[in-house]
Amino acid sequence: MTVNLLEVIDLHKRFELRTPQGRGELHAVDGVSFSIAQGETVGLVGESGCGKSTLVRLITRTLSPSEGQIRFLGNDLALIDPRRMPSHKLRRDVQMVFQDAHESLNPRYTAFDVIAEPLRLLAGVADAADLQARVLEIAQMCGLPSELLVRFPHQLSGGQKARVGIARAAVLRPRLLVLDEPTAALDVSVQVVILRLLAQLKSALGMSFLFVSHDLNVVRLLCDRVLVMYLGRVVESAPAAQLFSDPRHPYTRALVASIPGASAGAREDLIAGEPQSPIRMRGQPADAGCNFRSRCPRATAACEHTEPVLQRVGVQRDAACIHLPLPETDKSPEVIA
Amino acid sequence: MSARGTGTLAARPGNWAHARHVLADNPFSAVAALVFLGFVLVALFGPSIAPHDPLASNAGAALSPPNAQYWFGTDALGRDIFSRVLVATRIDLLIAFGAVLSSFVIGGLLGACAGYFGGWMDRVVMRGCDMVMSFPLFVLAMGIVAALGNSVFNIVIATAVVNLPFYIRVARTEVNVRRDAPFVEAARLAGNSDARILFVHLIPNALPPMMVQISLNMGWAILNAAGLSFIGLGVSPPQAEWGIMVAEGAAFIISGEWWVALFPGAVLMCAVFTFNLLGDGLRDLIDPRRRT
Amino acid sequence: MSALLRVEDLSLQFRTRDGLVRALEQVSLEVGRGETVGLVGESGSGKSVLSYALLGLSDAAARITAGSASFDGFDLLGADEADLRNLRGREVAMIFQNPKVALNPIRKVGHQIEDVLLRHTTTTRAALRERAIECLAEMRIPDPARRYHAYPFELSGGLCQRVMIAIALACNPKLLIADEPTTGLDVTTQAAIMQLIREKSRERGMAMLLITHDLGLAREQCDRMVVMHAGHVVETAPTDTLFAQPLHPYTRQLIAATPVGRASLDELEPIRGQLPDLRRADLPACRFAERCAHRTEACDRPLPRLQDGHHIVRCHRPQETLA
Repeated sequence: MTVNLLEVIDLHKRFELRTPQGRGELHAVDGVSFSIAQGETVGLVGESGCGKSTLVRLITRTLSPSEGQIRFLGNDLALIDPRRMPSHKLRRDVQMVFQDAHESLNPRYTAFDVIAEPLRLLAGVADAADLQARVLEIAQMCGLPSELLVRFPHQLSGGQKARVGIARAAVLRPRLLVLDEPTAALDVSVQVVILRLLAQLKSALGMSFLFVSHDLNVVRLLCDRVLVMYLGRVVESAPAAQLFSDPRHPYTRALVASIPGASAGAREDLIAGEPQSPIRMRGQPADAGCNFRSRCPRATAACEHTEPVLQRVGVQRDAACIHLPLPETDKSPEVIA
Repeated sequence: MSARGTGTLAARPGNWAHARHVLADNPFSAVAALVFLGFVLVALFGPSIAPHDPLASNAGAALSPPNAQYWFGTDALGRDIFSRVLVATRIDLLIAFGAVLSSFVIGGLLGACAGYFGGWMDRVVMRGCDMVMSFPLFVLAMGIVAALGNSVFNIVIATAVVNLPFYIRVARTEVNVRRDAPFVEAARLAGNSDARILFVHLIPNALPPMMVQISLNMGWAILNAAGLSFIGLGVSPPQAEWGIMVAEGAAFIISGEWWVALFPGAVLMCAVFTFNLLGDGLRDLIDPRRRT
Repeated sequence: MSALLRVEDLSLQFRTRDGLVRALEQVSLEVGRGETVGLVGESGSGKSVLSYALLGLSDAAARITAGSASFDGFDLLGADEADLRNLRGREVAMIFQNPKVALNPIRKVGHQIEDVLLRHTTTTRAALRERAIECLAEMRIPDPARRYHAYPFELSGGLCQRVMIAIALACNPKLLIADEPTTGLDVTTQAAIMQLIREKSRERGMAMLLITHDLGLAREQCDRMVVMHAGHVVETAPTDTLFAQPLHPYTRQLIAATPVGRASLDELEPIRGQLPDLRRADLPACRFAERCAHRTEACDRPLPRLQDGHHIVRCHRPQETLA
C-alpha cells in the first residue's frame, strides 16, 4: 500500500469581503479533499476563479485555511502559524515553482544568490565552498551553465529564468514540489525543454509534484492523475489519460472540448457565459444546488436543490454530478495476490 | 547521482566598473559628480586652504570690491568673502547631509514598516505624516528652530522633521506595492522571516526611487537652511554660512556693493544645481537593471 | 480575384540605442477576401511588428527600408496619417491581446463603441446609444443595456474581449487583424470567443489575419498559414498542406514541439538554439541556419523563394530535409 505523502481533508478557505452591496464571504476553497502519493504527479486544472491559486497557497502555507486538515509527513500543516512557517522544519519539504519566473526573482539578486538562499536559511549551510558546490550541482542538473550564475534576472532569457526558479525550489530536495503554471509564460520551444527537465528532476530527486495548469495538453503529458476544480470544489478526479479520452463531468467535458484542435469532445459540450459569483452575501440563504448549473448543458430541475458530492464513478475515478451513473457492482475478476 | 558540482564561478562584475560605466554613459552626471567632489573637498579642507581668517575683521578693508588680495571682495566688517564662502561650505553641506540622511533613514524605516505591516502601525504613521504636512514647511521649520534655539544642530533637526513625510510616503508605497509580489512569496518559501524580507528583499528594491529624491532634497535642504539663516533663525553671526552671507549682503546691493551677496548666492546656486544633476546618476548607480 | 491585403518584400528596422534592429526582412503575405490567414511564430518572430506596421502604428523608431503593402489597392505605406485614420476602424480593424488593458480604463464601454460609430458611420447622435447596445447584444454579451454603462475593470477578461470585438466590428470592416485575441483567457472562454469571431466573419464575409503562437488554434481556425521566424516568413501554405507536409525545418520543429495530440512527453522535441540577435550586422541570409540541423554551405547564400501551387517555402534544402 502506497503511503500518501500529502492528504488534504475537507479544506476550506473563506475571505471576508466588503462590497458595495454589503458584507459578504468569498468561499475560495470549498471543501476540497485529495491526496498525493509518494512519487506521484497530480495535476490540478481549472479556470480563473476556481480556487486553485488559493489551494496552492494553503498547501505551501503562505495562507491559513479556515477549516480542514493538511496532513504531510505525519504533521498537520494547517495547525502551523504561517509566521512560524519560514523557520519550521517542514518548510524545506514543500517548495514551489512560480508561474512567472521573472516576477519570482528578486531583481537585485544574482542567480547564484537566488539558489543559495534556501541553502543558507533552511539548511544552515554556512561554509562558502560547500555552498558553492551545492549551488553548482543543482545548476548543472537544471542545465544552467555556471557562467550564468553571476547574472541578474534581467540579463537572463525566459528559459534561463525558469531554470533558476526550478533550481531554487529543488536545491533542498523537497518531498513535494508545487508547480504553478511553470511554462505558461514560455515559448513552445522552451516549454518542451523545461517539461523534460521537470520530469528528469522528479525521478532523479524522488519528488512528488502538484502540477497546476490551465494548459490541458501539458497536464496530460506530465501527470499521473488530474483533479478538475470549479468554483472552489473538485468536480472530477481521474487518471490523466482517461480524463481526456473519457471526461465524465460536464465541466470537464467542456474543458476538453474547448482545447483548440482537440479530437475528443464535441461541439455540444462547449459552454458559454461566466461562472456565477462565488461571493455569498450576508443574509442570503446558502445555495443548495450545483454551482455549475447556470452554465451546464445538461442541467435539470433537480440540479437546483441537490448539491452533488464527489463520488466514485469508475476505477480510480470520482466525479461530482447527480446525473452520472454510478458503477455497477464490480464484474471484473479480482486479482488475487 | 552526479558528483558534487565542479567548475568555478565567474567573478562578479565589480561595483567600480559599474560606476565607471554609469558615469561614462551620462556626461552630465559625470560633470555633476566632479563638481560635487569639489564641494566635498572644500568642505573637508576649507578652513586649511582659506587664504584669510574668515572671522578676522579688518575695518580698514571693509567693502572692498574683488581684487588680487580679496578674490571675492570683503564684507561690511572687512572679512574676506572668499574665505568665508569656502568655510561656509562645510556647514552647509553638513546641514544638507545631516538633515537628508536622517530623514531618509528614519523616514524610510518608518514608511517601510508602515507599508509592510499595515494595520495600526500604518494608521499611526500616516496620521503623523498628515500632521506634519498640514503645516507650511518653512513655517514649521521656523517654529522648530525658534522653539529649540539657534544652532546648526537644530537646523538639521528642523529640516529633517519637515522632510520626513516625503520619505515615509515614498517608502511606504514602494514597499506596499511589492509586498505581495511573487518574489516576496518566493522569499518566504526560501525561509526568510518578516524582518529579513523587509530589510533584505523589500527595502533594497524600494531604494532606487528614493535615491533620486535624496539629491533633490539636499539642494532643498541647503536652501531651507539658507532661508532660515536669512531671517535670523539658525546660524548666528559671526559664523559663516551662505544664507547668512546673502542676508548680510542684501542690504548692500542697492548701494552698489554687489559682491557681498552675489558670490555666496552664486555658490549656493551652483551647489543646489549640482545636487539636482546628481540625482539621475545616483539612481542609475543603484538600479541593477542598468547593469549590462 | 485580387488579394485584399498584399504585402511584398517588406523590410523594417528599428533604430535603438544599442544599434539597428532588423525586425522584418523581405516579408511577403497575402490575405484574400473572406479568407482567414494565420500568422504564427514564437515571441520575437516579428508578427506583431508586422501588423502594427501595416496600420501605421509602429513605434517612432521604426523605419520601413523596402517593400510595399497595399489594402484593396490602397498603398498603406505611402499613405498620410489622415487617410490611415479613415482606414483604421472602418475598413481594417484590430483587436489586441489582454483586452482589459487594451480598452480605455476610464471610459464606459458603451461610449467606446459610440466613439467608433461616430467617427466612421453616419449614425445620428440620437441613434448612437441604441446602436451601441445592439453591437453589444450581437456579441452575445448578456444584459447589454446594463453593460453599456460598465467600465472595463468591472468586466471579466472574456467580456472585455467581446467588447473589443464589438468595437472592431461596429463599422463592418473588410479585414480584421486579431493579435493573440485569446491569449490569457480561460480555455472555455477562448473557445467561445473564437466561435464568435468565426461566426461573425462568415456572416459578413470578413477576412481575418489571426496572429498567434498557438499552433493548435491556428490549425483549427485558419484557411491558410504563414510561419514566421526572426523577422522572416519561412513558409506559407494552406493549413492542411502545412501540417501534412511541412517543408521548412523550423515549421517541422514547431509542430514537433507542440503538445497537442501527443501521447507522451518523449514525443515532443525541443528546438535547438535561440533566436539570433537581430542587432547583429552579420546576420546570415537564413536566420534559422544557426539552429538548423541540416545546414550546409549552400545555406549562406541568399534565400530562394520556392513555390508549388499555394505552398511557398524559403529554404535551400526543403525537399532534402524530409528524410
